[in-house]
Amino acid sequence: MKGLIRKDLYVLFSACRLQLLIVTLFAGAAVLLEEQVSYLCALTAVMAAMLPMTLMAYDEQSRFDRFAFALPVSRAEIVLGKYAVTLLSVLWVAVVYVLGGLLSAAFGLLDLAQWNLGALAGMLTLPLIVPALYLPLAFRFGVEKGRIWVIIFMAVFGAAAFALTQLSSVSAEISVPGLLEGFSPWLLPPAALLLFGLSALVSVQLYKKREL
Amino acid sequence: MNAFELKGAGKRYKGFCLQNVDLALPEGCILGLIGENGAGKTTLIKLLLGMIEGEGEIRVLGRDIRREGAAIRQEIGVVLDEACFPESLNARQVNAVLGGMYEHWQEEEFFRLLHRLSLPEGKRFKEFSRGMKMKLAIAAALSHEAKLLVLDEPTSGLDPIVRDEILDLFYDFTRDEGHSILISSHIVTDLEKLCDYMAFLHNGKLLFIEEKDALLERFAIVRCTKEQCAAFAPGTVRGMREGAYGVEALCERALLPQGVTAARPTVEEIIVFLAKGAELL
Repeated sequence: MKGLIRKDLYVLFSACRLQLLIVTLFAGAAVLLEEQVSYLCALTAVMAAMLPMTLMAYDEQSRFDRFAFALPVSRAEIVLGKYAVTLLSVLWVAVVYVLGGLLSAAFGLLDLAQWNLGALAGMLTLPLIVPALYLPLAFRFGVEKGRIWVIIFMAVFGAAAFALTQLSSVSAEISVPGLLEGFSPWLLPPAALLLFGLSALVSVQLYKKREL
Repeated sequence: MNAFELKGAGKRYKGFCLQNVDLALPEGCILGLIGENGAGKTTLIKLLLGMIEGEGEIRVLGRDIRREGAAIRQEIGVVLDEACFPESLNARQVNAVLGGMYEHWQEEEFFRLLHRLSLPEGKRFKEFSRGMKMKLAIAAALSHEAKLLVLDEPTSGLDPIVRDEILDLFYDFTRDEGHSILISSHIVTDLEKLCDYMAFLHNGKLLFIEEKDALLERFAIVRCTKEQCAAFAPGTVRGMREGAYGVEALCERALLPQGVTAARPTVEEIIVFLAKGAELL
């Protein structure tokens, strides 16, 4: 698996350099630009969530996915390698945000007491949830079909969120802030991590049936 | 010991079926797998490497590929019809990637082969020509103490000079008596130069697996009239081609009547005649 992770990191730092740079810049900027924090966090999370998909697309393009079956690695290792790289990219977002915050505080640009750490919870959650939903489909059907499913998921999720905001404007009893009251954002990353783990198990099973 | 053995191996797809293949390669030998496009060569190689599920018993280097696939593949060097490394990688990175996969990866040997094949270490794979890509794939396959090389059309689309360079590497590999090669190719002349055994797949069926010299001895090309040909004993003629001045027939040499002038065929002629009709094995 070490070789597979190395390969993905090389691809990440060469072919996906721009994507990685944007993730890093947005995560860093989210620390300082408090007014834009939701927007920047969402962008960071979406870009980070797309990284495993991009890596799989490169594998398919070069036909490395097929070649990997002829290498001395099991299918489970191939799948878990991709999940490990996804976790590393999420960890990178966290490191940039936390380091950015601490450095900004050291230079007097940020008051740590006012620091919006809840945004970090969101930034860690989305890049885990989206691949958790997407990767099993990509491992079973390939990147292109998997991408279509992501769009469908996003559309359903977006429609549900939109419906909720519309309902809250109609009825005072159903309001988004009301629903989220007392809810700690820090419950989200562990829940996303659990989903991510379950997704890995499903992907391993699905990939065993894949023929290339 | 056999380098590999297939007993009743097969695979069914919609519209294609690789049927009941019995094939074995003795250790230290080179087997050439011939067949037209879609005959089942790649499917057979995928079965052998445990890349797909199929029917029958498949043992490679004495072990069951289905049970110990990843461990057995440590000892197999594989070159598929394309060099499948990500295009943004360079040869140094390929070394690091494969070094993390193969237990017996030999970095020095890999770089020695790169140097011998005049391949740049730092140039990205996407800037390589097809010949350079295949040479890199072959260098990788030869750098982890493999006992068996499995090569799926490694020389297709390459110019004769690069092909010759690559064939030299295979000759070097087989100097060790424990090393074996399975190579599939359309370029029968390459196989004829290199191989000890030849196997011919046609429409998913194995028509023959035979020692190359025995195969060339077994068959003969006879040029005669259609009537003369029809007078041969049943089973003599394995394939026939009619021309303006008579027929050219591939015959079983042992069944030919005495006195008939027969020429020694090339492997290419044998497979072309057989593909057009005869059923062996």
